[in-house]
Amino acid sequence: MLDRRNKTLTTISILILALIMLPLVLVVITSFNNESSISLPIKGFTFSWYANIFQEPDFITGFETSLVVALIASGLALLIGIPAVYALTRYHLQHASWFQSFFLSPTLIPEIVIGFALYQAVVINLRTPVFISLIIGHFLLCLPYVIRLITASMLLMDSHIEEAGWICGCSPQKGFFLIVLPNIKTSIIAAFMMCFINSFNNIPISLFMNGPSITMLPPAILNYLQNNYDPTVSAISVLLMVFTALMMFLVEKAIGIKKITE
Amino acid sequence: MADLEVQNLAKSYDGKTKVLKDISFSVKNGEFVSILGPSGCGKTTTLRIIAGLIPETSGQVLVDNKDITKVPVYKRNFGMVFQSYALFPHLSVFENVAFGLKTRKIAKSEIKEKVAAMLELTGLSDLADKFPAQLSGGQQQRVSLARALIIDPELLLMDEPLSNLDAKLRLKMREEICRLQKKMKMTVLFVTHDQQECFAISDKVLIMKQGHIDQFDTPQTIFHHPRTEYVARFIGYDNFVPVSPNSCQDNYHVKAGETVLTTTEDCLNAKVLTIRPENIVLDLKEATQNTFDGKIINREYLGQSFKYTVESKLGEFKVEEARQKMRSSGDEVTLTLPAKHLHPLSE
Ligand SMILES: Nc1ncnc2c1ncn2[C@@H]1O[C@H](COP(=O)(O)OP(=O)(O)O)[C@@H](O)[C@H]1O
Ligand SMILES: [Mg+2]
Repeated sequence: MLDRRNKTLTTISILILALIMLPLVLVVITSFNNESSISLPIKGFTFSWYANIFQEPDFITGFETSLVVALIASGLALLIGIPAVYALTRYHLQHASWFQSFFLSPTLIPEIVIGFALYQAVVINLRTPVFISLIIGHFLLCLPYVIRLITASMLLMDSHIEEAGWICGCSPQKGFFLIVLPNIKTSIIAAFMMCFINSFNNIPISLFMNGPSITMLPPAILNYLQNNYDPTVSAISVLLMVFTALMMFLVEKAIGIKKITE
Repeated sequence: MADLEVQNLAKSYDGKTKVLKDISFSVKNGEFVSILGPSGCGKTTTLRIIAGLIPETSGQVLVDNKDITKVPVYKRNFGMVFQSYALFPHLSVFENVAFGLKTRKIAKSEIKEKVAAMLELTGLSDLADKFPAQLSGGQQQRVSLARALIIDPELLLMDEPLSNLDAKLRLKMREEICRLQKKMKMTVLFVTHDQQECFAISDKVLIMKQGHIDQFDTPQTIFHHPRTEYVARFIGYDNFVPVSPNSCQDNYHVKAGETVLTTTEDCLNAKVLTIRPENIVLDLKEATQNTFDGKIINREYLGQSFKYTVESKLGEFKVEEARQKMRSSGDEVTLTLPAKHLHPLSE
């Protein structure tokens, strides 16, 4: 048996965990500060910065837009990514690895460049509405996560179970829904979470499409911070953390990964 | 259940090398036919073409004289048991077995009834709510069989269904498959590379060699009259005596080196003679024909018997002899090859 009570390793783990948690804890603490600057130690306790969030229309509309964009972009990435991966892993396509690299390529390019390129090409030259461009940008951001996670689980799945379904009288189209999808459910959920979080928190791409007509939450926070250095930003960060955690919890609960992995 | 006929089936995966070359055979209603051959000879390919999982390169598959070659897999109404069982991991045992009925849009109450009966028949009633990951290999195998049988298939295809089980369980499952086959009067095509297994359960055995059929007969015929050296080797004929070219004196006497050997079968076109190790007799006093001297050079203990390697002027022979007497390396013996057990082979 391995001795799992290695002191050095335990210490390192705790240190790393502390390093990750520390900024979060600081943000939470500063959000309750009754002084009008983000500083430590805090002098007193107040909820007023949380109330202040709702006085800023940019935060409210920004939240709504970011939520809608993240949901649509993640959904689109799944809708296009899953069939693409299915084709890449199940059919012996020529140049399959080339396609694989192509789908993953957005990860290689700095997001700010993608944002700028999209702004140049799609918004300025093609005169596409900003909202559509935003969706395209965030979709590109999400797609690689879908491709990676779904490919991994598609390769792990025994391809004979699909064939068994066909033999049982299921057409390949029906089999995809009745057999393939349920068996890659866990990674679909994981991919959705990755997509959603990354899209929702994205600044570089959203920055370019941030116009008078459309406000995204992260650029709105950035914008606010440039003019007011007060704990409202801490407060909204805490709310976002809670929101994201709650959302993940609900998604996991609703789809129930536990039942199959038990 | 139905008749199956395969005509001139050929298959090439890459357009160059032929994995199957001109396979033709038929399986009658209610027959249990095995395809036997070493790994890589094309057994799985044959089965998958019949199932409709992969396209043939040329040839036809007929069921009850109807050409089904172009019918897609999901409309063929066959059952198939995979080597890896291929159960649906996300469905319970009950749902796995019910799957084929659900896709056929059968009423819920009828599904429930039929599945319950099938689980009973295969001894799975207690496991209905379990998931595949919670089952042992033997249990998974049974679920796989139940899932294939529930739709009352015209043909049951099995690809090495027992090869992932341990020896004891394999024997038990084998008997169970036999029992179900008889009971349901199934037409079965069973793929295996295990000779004992397939001789024990099959009405007919199809022996495959590199994409073509070497012999298709009852187990008894194959056992006593292998058609080729390849078949003979596959089913335990260890001894092969090359015949001198054009040495056939009449239809029952042939020369191997300078020794004249007598057979009871026509040996006119024989290239080699073959005999099983347990049919060779050592030190037979009244021997008058097919007898010559040898020397023991090796001994193996087989439990019920000993297996000797004997050196002689006709080459090395493997001889199996009951346990009562034990001989040692270096002992001088006379070998007798009884004519009725000495089979001439023409290829
Ligand atoms: N999908 C495939 N693509 C290319 N060659 C294959 C494929 N499947 C099998 N083969 C080749 O066809 C031959 C027969 O394979 P198979 O039918 O699986 O043999 P068996 O089941 O008797 O072991 C082998 O040489 C194998 O390498
Ligand atoms: Mg095989």
